[in-house]
Amino acid sequence: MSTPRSILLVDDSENDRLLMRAAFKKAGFDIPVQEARNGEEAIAYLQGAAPYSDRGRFPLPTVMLMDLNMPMKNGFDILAWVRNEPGLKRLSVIVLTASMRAEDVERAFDLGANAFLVKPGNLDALTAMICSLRDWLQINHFPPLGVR
Amino acid sequence: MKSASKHAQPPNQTSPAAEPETMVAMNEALLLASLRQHELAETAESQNTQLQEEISERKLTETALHRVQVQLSDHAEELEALVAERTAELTATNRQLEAFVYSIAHDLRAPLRAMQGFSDLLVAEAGSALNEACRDYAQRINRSAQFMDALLCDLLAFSRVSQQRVELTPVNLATVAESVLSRLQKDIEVHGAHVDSIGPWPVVLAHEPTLAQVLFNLMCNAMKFTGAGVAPRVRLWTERRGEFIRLWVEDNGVGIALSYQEQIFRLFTRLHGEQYSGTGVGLAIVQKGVERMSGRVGVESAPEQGSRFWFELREA
Repeated sequence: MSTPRSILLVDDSENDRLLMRAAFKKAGFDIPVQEARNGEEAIAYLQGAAPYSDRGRFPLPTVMLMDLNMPMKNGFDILAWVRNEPGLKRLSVIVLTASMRAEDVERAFDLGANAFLVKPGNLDALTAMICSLRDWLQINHFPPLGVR
Repeated sequence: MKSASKHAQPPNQTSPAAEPETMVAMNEALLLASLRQHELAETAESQNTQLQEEISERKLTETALHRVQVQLSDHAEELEALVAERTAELTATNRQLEAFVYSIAHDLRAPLRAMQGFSDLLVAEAGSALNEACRDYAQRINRSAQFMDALLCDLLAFSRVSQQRVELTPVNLATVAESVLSRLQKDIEVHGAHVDSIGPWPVVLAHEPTLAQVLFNLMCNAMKFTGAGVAPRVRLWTERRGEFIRLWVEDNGVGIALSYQEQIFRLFTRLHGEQYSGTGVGLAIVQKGVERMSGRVGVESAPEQGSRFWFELREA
């Protein structure tokens, strides 16, 4: 692998972030995972604004895993913002949400999402999903970010 | 006439020139003519008056008619406005219902995910430190959350079947039966079931996803409600009944007493305790789905005799 990879997980539910961490661990996921608790934090993180200005500690992610239904700035808002940022427009964004609504899937892809996943009900299924994600990260080629 | 002719005599007598008899006859004729004329004039006048009355009456009627027409068209407009208003209200209610269903899926399932996930984690990470009873408690939390999740998923399926737009198109029963059976392959193996898919499979008017859901639910039930240690045997066949095709799903299960055969199609109705898992929504989905496809559904069964569920759809 040419560049070190990392994940940014954006979810307002502490339970779900905790379960994701457990599933990452169960899946033997060795890629660093950063967390943001809402849309504002996610945007600040991606901009490298305080308190995320240290790119050594808070690297630009290879993939952003993002919930849709969040207070203030929701997933669609973040997605629209990301696709308008010249340095981030190629960022791989995976929507990870609680339920599948056809119009949400369409809107997410219209706004430039790269995948749409539904949070599984139990830990085993979540772990299996993370394993697939790990495999995909290993075989996929990602474009460099931050190039204007 | 009589009084008129009497009254007409004097001028006849005063006429000197003509021959008396002829004169009398002429005078009489003249008199008669003038009387007739007078009479005719009177009749004409009275007819005229009558006609005028009729005309003014008709004018009145026409005015009234026009007024009613205007009123009618006003009413029609009002009605149209009312219908439009009601339609808008209904659409809004529908949208609210859909939003409600979506929030059930999204918001109610989130805490369930946490209950399932953390009870799993508890057993996985501290299982060895817990005694038997505590492990059992954690597993009960997990199973209950799973059950509630199943309940919510079934409710969502029911509401989808009730609300989604259903357009009936010709659907090949063979394709649907095949896809449902292949989806159930794993369950068939787990239950050690023997499934006879007999046919024939005509083309019916249906909404394919709904039809598949209906057959899927009936097949699941046919394999589920069997006596202890009995391998399920399921037979599928069709029968032509007039313009309809009836599809039968027959099992060798525990059967249903006649007194329960109507209520089993109601939402949340269950006839068995924990012996058979279930949410009591499956047959309600079947009935609602068949109803949405303008068909009928029913069952023939007796305790310990197995059940034969059927549904009918119009042949395409």
